[in-house]
Amino acid sequence: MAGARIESYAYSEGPAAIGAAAPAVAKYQGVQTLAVIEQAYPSDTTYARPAEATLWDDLLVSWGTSLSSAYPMGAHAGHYLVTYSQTTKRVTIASTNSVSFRPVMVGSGATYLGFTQSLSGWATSWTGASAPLGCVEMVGVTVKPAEDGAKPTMTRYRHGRCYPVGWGNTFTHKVSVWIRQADAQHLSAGWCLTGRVRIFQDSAHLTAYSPTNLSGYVDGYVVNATNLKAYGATEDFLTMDLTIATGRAS
Amino acid sequence: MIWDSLKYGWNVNYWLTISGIDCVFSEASVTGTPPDGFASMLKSLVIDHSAEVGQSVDRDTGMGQGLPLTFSLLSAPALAAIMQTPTMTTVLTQNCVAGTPYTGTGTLHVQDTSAFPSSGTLYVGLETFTYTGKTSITFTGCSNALHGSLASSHFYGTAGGTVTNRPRVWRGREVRLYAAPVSPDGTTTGSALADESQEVWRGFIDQGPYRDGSDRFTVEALSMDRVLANPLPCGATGVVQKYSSRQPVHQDQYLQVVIEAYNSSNAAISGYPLQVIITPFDNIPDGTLMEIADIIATIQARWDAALVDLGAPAIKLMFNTHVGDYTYNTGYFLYPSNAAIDHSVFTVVVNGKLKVDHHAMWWGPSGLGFDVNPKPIIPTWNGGANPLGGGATSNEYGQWDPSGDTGESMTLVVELDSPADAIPPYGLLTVGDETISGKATVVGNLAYFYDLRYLSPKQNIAWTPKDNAIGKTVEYTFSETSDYAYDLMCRSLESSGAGTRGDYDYWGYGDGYAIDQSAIDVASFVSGLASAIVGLNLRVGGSGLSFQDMFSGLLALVQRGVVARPDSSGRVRLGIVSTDVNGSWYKTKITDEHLLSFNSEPVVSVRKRDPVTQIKVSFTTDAKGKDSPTVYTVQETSGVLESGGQTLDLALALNGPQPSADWTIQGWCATILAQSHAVQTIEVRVVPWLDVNVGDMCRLETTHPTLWNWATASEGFTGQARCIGTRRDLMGGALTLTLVVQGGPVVSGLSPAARINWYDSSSAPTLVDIDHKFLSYMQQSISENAGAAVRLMHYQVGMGNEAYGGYLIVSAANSVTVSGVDWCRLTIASSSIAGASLSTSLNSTLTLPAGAVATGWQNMFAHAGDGTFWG
Repeated sequence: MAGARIESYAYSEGPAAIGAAAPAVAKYQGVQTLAVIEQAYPSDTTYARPAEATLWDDLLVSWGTSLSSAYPMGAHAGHYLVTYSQTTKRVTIASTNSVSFRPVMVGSGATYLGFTQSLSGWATSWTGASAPLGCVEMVGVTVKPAEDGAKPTMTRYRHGRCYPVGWGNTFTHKVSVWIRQADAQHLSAGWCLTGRVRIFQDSAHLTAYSPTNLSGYVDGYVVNATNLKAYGATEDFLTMDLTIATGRAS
Repeated sequence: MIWDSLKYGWNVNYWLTISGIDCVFSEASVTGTPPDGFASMLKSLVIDHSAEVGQSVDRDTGMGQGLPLTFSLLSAPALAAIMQTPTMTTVLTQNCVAGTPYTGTGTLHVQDTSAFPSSGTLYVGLETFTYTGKTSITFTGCSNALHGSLASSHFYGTAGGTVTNRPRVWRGREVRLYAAPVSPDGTTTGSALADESQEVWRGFIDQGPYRDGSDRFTVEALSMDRVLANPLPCGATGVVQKYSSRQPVHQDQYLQVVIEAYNSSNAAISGYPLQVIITPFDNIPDGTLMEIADIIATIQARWDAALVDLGAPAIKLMFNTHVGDYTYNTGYFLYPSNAAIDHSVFTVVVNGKLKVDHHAMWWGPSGLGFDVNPKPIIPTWNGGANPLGGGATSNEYGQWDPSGDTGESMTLVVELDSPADAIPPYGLLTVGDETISGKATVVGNLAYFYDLRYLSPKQNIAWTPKDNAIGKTVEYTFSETSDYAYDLMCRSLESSGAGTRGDYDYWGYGDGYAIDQSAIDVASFVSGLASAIVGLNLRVGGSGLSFQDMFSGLLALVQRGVVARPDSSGRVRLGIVSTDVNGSWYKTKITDEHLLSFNSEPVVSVRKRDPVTQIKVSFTTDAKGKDSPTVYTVQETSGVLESGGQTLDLALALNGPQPSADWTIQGWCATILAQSHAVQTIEVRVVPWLDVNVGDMCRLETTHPTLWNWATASEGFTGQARCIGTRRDLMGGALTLTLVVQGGPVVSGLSPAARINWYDSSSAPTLVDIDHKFLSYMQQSISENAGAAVRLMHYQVGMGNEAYGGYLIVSAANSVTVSGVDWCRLTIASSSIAGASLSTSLNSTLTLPAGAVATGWQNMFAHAGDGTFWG
């Protein structure tokens, strides 16, 4: 079992950017834009950004692909791979053809990826200084069968006033997550606790939950997050109950 | 779209501005720079207790009914400096008339500046100024229209001329509420606060700020469109003091008389030329309407004085002026005795409306008591033809006619109840129980009304009071007529008297709402009304009338509405929207997945009102109903008999009888009556990110059991729906939409007819331009057709149905011509259908086809209001 994990979706409405094309910074920029500067071209910044909201895993792949194809004519030579290690809980941005470069963090993308905001120097590979906020590793998770969510119970939470969104044509899953105390801050940072998330019971199991696929992931919108409790002699473990709304069609 | 990000855990931070106050009030600390015009930001805004905000439009009046906003500002040291009574006050001593805002160059003339510091901020009415210097009676180096306030006229001698060091007036200040995106980790984005924000609400302070609890001030504000129900000020009121013939005089009017004298050798005689120039009215307020006798006396006095200055030569020359049909002796010219004069050149120069009648110019002394008999003056014009009309031989040199073309005018002299800040130059005058048209000029507290004429049916006939007018009460306000409703409406919205609000700021101070054009979606007025209302000569204006009074009847008739709504510009603006249940295409599709089930049913039927079976349209020509309105009734007789039904009363202000109006209005009424039985109003609670605004046509496809499909006897609804109201919960962003739908089970939209504006080839076009408003429609047609070419039929008026060819379009894009006009440019595929020959003069038009060639998308549109398709 590869472990349970919550992955966030990074909101983006584009415009998709590859290379140095303006606008370098998207509307609602914060996490969806990643940039690099190659040592051979220190005055050029190459940006990559998806055109639409993208799941954590897909976002990392998308960045690598976009940065690699940014200058297909060869002016800039770097080919990149952005990866996340579930073991070390770190993101690595690496050049696959030994081009020295420096990542540029845009907005809150630094904490989203677990990097420090300002980076200096040149290297062919960069690894984050801390665990990213864009995904959170869990000790375990239980997913109850879907219920008809035509009238989901919603309560206010987060930001002190926001009603999470859910809507009539949904199923809801009651999901209990178990996390380590050390990971609690990552969860409470917000990215994996609001909006659309994907909760993997087993991150190697890449198909959606269904009555015939009980270990599949749940992909939906956080409607409710309640019942935070601590367990263990030293309160090493926390649990929280989430209500996740998924579309009827999914 | 800012609300779209809520799906992914984002939130919004609200912030707002209050015009004239240099502070941005925000819910949370933000890192972006403040918007233009504001320097400081304060985290003190509390929005949580506000009811839902939004807009709606009343289909029976066409007027927007935006919801109010209530917000609080938490106490803070920076706020204390604003929430304080002015400690320094003075008053204007000269009018401060709005014009182009000045930056550091203006001067305010006031009574006393001694209490004020050497530089600082000033508040006059709702406008904020700064100054960099002062004298004892002036503030110098002024900048105005600061912090979102608008340059406005301020008049001395009125309460509005009070100058203070802190805000004195709050009611009426503009409030603009914005939402800025906040990422799930609480980060605000963008380097400038306004960059990624979207305006949510816009209006004016109605109540407050007042202390609310121990830690805050609360402000209640009304939506921008609510102001349109406020009556505009009456231009002037007063009592008739006198009714007599008068004419306006102007300070720059002058009369110049020159006599050149020559001997028989054509040599100039010593002492000549003699010249007199008088400007008889240069010390009288410009435009003063004077009685004829007073004009004569004034000219006489100046003439006499001028002759004295000339040295009183020996021979008198009679000089008469003519005023209208009357002749008055106003002076004489002294012509010296000099036997050497052989001939003379007599030149008269006048300006303005002065004309000189020289035919009665006399040269003495015969019969006039002069003792010398010089040779006659030969009245020849120096340089050719008589420039004043008439000929030299007949001595017709024209007339001095101070009133110009119209001669003297019977004038009402009215003592005003209070000094008029400004008064429109022409308008409607109510004298007792009569309403007439007239022109006006004001001198001090006296208003002179002249060129007084009856309205319909004796339109343009000079008015005479039916009894003694003296002592009667007078109300005066502006009036305007036009064939173009959008023009009148935009003028009513923008007019400030200063001409600075925008392209339609034509009318005088107090004749319009002085709304800046940036708050008006002018294009929507033009596109929404220009083609809908044709052939009606409208009259607007009247004492104490509002925009609603003047236009609501017309808007309701043509199923349009004026509403303040967020639009694609990212701002809340007043615009024209359609309230018609039928529409050509939909902007947004609403399905089950958009329904929000929090705390209540997501779909609620609103009780149907009794269907309208009778419409009474009142035509008035003075917009006040005092002119015995003509009532035009359109009814569904059987409906009235069978169900009693309901009468819709609408009022139109027209400029006299309109021979074509009956048919036009009958058509409008018939449309309303036909729809009335079937229209159903529903409320739908949907997710925040649905892009729907008041006036938008939507496609509603829901299985929700609140709606019933009468055709299949099953739950749900599929068809077009017009949004006539939106309410947004500020806390969570959820939207409640008020939709009107046809009661039928399946409703089609009307297929648009896009008139061709330009093409690159009439027989084999590859590019065609149509109106820009079809851009989204065409793009969606292609999109819904999975990117495949969409077939458009071509027809020309009178040609019949789709027998004349068509085209397959593969793309639709924005096209900007050199004149800056946006068009929708269609790219025609090479596989165009033969047979069409485009012509702009024959009004070539494109529309979706019908029948077997139609796609699923195209089947959602019909070619007639009854939902039927061609073929």
